[in-house]
Amino acid sequence: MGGLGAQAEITGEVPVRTDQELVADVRAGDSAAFGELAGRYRRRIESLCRRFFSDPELVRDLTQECFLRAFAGLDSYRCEMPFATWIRTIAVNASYDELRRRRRRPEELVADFTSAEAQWGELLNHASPEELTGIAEERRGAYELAHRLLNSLRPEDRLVLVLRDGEEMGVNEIAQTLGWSEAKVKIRAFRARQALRKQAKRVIGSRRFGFLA
Amino acid sequence: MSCFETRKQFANFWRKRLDRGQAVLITDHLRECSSCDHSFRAFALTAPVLHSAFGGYDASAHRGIAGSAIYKLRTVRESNRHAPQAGKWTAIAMVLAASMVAYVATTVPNPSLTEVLTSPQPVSTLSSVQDSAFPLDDFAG
Repeated sequence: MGGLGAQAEITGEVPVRTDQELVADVRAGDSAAFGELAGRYRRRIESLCRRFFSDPELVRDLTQECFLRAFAGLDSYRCEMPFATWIRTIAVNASYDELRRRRRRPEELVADFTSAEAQWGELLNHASPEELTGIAEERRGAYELAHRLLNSLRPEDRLVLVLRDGEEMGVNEIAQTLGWSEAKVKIRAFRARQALRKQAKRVIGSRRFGFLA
Repeated sequence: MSCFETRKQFANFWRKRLDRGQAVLITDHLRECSSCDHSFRAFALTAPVLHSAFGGYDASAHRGIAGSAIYKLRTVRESNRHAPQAGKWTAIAMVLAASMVAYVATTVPNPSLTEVLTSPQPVSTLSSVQDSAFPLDDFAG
């Protein structure tokens, strides 16, 4: 009995407020409570945006925009849905809007690789699988090349791949988030993988790059 | 481990979710099967974004400032670093404003055409009127 509150009384710690309690506080006029909510989810939202865009400035702006949209639309938030799901949906929509706004440039896929990308290409060619998994996150080139490849996809293809593979969301969950049918999500995911495979072949077969050949 | 099973585990292998034994099975298979090895390297093209824990390379994290407290410290430091520059611009703006005020205070304003025409003072006393768009000669008798 008592749980968290009783424990807090004993230890003298301030009990951690749930998301729903914070939302209620914001609605009651305590704007600072929203700061706490934003603090909880900032990194998660940034990570999601970073799967869509490589520009750190844009990622920061989008993250900020998500929280602004959330704050402005808090009245429409229904407490049956976890706040995490709601804010993620906002981030997905904001990222999708931004993807659609940007012009896709598939022709740039195999042109002018940066030296960082080329170095990563060398590693992809020669390093062992364990080494690759160990060093990829420290390599800017790995990230840039991945974005270059993903940038060549249609926005909806990229969206589905990011949600399915990156965020590891189920088909049903993606369908609910995007307002699509489950069949549409499955078809789009299948086509997205086909398109990605095709573009990956272009990179792999690129004379300029030449790795994995 | 079969090719199918190996490929199914690529994401978990990349995300380092497999225990040591399973990871060894994967690497052993990749060493022996060139087709799966090729697939894994193709998978690794997009894995840094799609399968990384935090959405990929984070420049701030690689400067050793990933922790939020340190991040905040950096933000404060950055704002402090920009502060002297902001101060410099403020000072320049203040000097300009002061110069402007001094100039306006010491310069006799150009009278307008109406002021010139209606002024009871002799034309010669209307200083700097020659600078106006309408030279006085045009109105001289």
